[in-house]
Amino acid sequence: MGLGINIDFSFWQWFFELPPTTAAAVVFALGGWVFISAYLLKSAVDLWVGYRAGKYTAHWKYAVLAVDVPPLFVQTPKAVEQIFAHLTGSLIHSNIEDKFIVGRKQKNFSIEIISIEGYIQFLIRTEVEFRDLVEASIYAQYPEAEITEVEDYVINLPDKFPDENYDVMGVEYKLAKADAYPIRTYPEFEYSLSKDAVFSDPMAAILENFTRLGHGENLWAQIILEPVDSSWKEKAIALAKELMTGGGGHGHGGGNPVLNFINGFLTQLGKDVHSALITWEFDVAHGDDHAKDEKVVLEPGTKKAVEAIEDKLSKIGFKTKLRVLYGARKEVFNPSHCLDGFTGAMNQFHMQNHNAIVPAGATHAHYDSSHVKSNVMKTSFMKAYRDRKMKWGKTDGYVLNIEELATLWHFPLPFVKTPLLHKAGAKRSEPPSGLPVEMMENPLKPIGFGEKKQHEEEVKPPEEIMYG
Amino acid sequence: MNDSTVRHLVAFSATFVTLMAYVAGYISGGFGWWWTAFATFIVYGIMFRLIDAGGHGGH
Repeated sequence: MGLGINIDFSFWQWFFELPPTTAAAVVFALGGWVFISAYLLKSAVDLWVGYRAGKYTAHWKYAVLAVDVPPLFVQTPKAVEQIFAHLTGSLIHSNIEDKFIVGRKQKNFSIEIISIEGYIQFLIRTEVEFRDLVEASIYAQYPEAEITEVEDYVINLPDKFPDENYDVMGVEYKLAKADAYPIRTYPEFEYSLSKDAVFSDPMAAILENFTRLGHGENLWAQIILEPVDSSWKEKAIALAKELMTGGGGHGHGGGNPVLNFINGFLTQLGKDVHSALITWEFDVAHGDDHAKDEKVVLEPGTKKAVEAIEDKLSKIGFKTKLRVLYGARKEVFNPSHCLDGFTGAMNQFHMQNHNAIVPAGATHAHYDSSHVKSNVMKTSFMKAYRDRKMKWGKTDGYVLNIEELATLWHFPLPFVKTPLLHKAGAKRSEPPSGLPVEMMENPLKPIGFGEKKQHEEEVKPPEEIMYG
Repeated sequence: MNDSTVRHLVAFSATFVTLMAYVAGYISGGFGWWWTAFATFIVYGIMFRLIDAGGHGGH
């Protein structure tokens, strides 16, 4: 005696016979209004959060610090990794009131390398509240470093395009795969031809592009760092588990979550149908027992990927965005002679089964012979660069851990020849201990006593910050 | 976008969602109103997800 399946199509028959307007009304009433509501509510919440955050951040002041290290000071990227770990002290944990009423927002940092007509400088841009934190983190690792506050260099290029004298080209970079996969990091740039390990500094290839500039040319690169909590690790752990159980790990690759859900659902449905047709195993309970007994054998590449994800998880992460901007006078404008090289230098960090840094977008519109769209993109890119915004267009940040960041941005080792890289001139050292000192006055002076620094005059007293 | 525009847009969004719920219930009629009531709970879930400050863990 067989089981019959009865499928009733009468609803669909009725539905497709309806006039279009009535059918639309039925779709709306049966749930379409929920999708429209979700979109509207999401937009409204984003608008509100942005509005409150705008009010909160209106009084923020930033300092751009030029960092020079002595030319013969040997420190590995590990030291820069420690600097980044130090910066996570600025992480705040916001609650609902902070985010939606106060508008409290995480302050970010920007670590930058710029070349103005070939003159190269390492910079860190920070909100003035964390200037001491930044300086302390650098001096802890580079006691002989020179840190100088400089004018923000972004005013050297116009902020609106088309411009009469200047043109720009900007490129944003993203991770090729999910955030959980690490890029190739500095320990993997060590090799040994003899008994001593040699470090092939990836900064050499990056800085080479900055040295190639001539008169009237600028090449600026910024990596925006925003401290984040550990929620990114939960996604990474889920991905590692999926890989270990034989899944492809496609569900955590970012992109559209709705499409990911539909893709995952259809993939699972296909697997189930295939399993049922091939093995004739319709009994779900037995299928589960079988799966428990079965030991998943990982392919070598997958095993390495899982190990790499676990390594990445072991260190602190930052929400990050890398972007680079080339700007020059029109008569010498030639972005390909350094931007192509910069993109090529990013390929150093690519590893099979791991991750890669790839271009996410550029200020170049296709099918735009009048250059109207390209100029709009250039203006918006310049604004994102000037304001050190994480988002530009549809591209958002991604998580890199401190080891990955230290690989991308560290002071080059002495053997890297970059003649125009600014370095600290004189060797400095601590004073002898035990020198007689004057008794200091009480440093806590009442408000209005003496002169204040420029920033202190303008900045409101910091509000209460919840440290995690 | 100035402050007043943002506040108008947010207020309009909330009002429009309420209006859509009413229209959906009106179209559904006396026999299908429960479907709109059920969908309202989905909107509740969406709103609950949206109002999230994040920050559920340390480093």
